[in-house]
Amino acid sequence: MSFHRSSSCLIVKMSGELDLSSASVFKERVDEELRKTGAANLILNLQGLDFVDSTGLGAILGRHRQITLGGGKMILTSVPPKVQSMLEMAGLFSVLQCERTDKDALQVIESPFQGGAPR
Amino acid sequence: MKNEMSLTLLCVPSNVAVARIAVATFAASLGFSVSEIEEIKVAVSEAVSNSVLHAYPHGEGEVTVRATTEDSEPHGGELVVEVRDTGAGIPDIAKAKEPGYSTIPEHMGLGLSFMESFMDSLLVESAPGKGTTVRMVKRPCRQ
Repeated sequence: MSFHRSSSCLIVKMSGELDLSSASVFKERVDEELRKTGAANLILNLQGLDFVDSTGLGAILGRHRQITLGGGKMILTSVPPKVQSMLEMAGLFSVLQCERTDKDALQVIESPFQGGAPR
Repeated sequence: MKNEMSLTLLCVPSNVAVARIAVATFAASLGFSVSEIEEIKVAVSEAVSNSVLHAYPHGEGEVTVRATTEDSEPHGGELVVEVRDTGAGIPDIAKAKEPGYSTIPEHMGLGLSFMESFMDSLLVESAPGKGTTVRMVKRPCRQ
């Protein structure tokens, strides 16, 4: 997992597996980075995510709740097909916004019409 | 030819991956597709996660993952996976199967739904104080 800050947005590049063992580390590190940077919006780049189960999806959804409660926006990018099918099965496509690239997601967040919270 | 594996693990989060990788490797001989192997991994991950999260709230315990394959009829090409703990048990299985039902914050309550969707059959046997056994069966689609 690596972090990058771009204007009001924290970009997290995910890697490996997101399950019961790694979900708590994911939550702690993302929450800590959000606190440290003060970023209001979050992009989760899932390109390197090899495996996710319902615990991992719960951790992703938890970050979404947290960000939207603060008035920000969370977007998933580079979603691998197997993660996409898990999101579909969990009915999360109606809740979580997905974009092809980080650049596309940043454009959405920075758009004055549909964007996230500035900070 | 019949084949069988059995793995007894301490109920800790890091063993969830151990269990799913072991079963996926074991199942590979049956000719499952890559996406079917992924489905098996998710189903095993969900079953073992449930044992880790719910079976032993007050201490340590074990979960046993048993898998069998059978090449010859009438069960040829079938993978059977059993995940068994001797922990707290499920008070209400029907309630636990309801999508979205969870007793833990930030958990989606979709574990049993995923097992049911990704495997061909799912049987849950449980009673309070007597542990839980989840039995799942899957056959390769292209057969």
